[in-house]
Amino acid sequence: MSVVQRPSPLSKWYLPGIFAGLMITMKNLIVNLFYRKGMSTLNYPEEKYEYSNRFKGTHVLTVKKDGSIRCTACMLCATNCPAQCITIIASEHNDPSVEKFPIAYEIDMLRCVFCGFCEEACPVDAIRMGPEWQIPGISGTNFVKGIDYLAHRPALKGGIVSVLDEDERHRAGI
Amino acid sequence: MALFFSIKNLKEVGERVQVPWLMVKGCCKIEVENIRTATYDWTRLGVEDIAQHPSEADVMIVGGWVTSSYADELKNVYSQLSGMRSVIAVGACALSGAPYAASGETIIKVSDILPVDVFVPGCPPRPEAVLEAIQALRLKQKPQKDQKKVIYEALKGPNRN
Repeated sequence: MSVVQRPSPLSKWYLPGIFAGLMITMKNLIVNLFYRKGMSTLNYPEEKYEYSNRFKGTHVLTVKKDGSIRCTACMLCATNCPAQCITIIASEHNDPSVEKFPIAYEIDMLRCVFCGFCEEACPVDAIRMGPEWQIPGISGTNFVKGIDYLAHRPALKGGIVSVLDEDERHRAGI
Repeated sequence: MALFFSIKNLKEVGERVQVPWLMVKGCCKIEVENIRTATYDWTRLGVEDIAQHPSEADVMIVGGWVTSSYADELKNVYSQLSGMRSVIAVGACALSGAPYAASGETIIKVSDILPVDVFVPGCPPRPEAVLEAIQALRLKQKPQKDQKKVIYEALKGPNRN
């Protein structure tokens, strides 16, 4: 014998569903009027959204402990970039222990898709995706950002030190 | 009972009301349509609800990839805008076509077809970034004192000594 569950006649009425919907609207109305902290609106300029550690924002070029740039201009990030937005010009350094460093490192913010492939490709932790989202600009601003903006902008407070130390790198033979 | 909005918002809303027309497609559409919801409310900033027809709108928000046939449609809609026609370009596809640069179809930058006022980079940009862009547009469109004088002189009519 099979038992078939058919929908009860009460569930086919319009009115219970309408009543439940109206109750949700009334609840939202009363919460918004009398208990403003429960309102779901994020008042953007006064309140900010909290992002997680893994948020992929504007890039950050890290520096070594003495303040010079960590990047060794190996071009792995530029090769891996799917939007081809990174331009690097490498050059020799006066200090013989530093083999190669970039004199120009530019990222075109209009081409970048913020995928994080450059951060994955870099072997020396020279580029990271930071926690700030991208700032819009009126027409005429320059969106090709160089080392000044990526490594030394005011929000970074003097440059973020890279995780990979120079002595460890030499001992490891990289 | 709490106030509905702060005095700062009242001043912003009273200044100028913008009526938008959205031409956003793809992934950027999801993020831009987010600013119409309660979480990132754009009526706090003085943007009226979306226009019924492009001829009632004065701000156009463009996002998503642009091919040659879509470019004709965009130019058609832009020609129907009224008032101070402004364009906000949103997302990496509209700004440079970069994500699809290797495809066979020609992907066009929006700045080649229309005069763009504000660029919003990102893939997709956060809704807060698009709100900032709308505020930047309002600051850019504030009429200067000389402009008001020119309009008044024009209204007085010709041949006045």
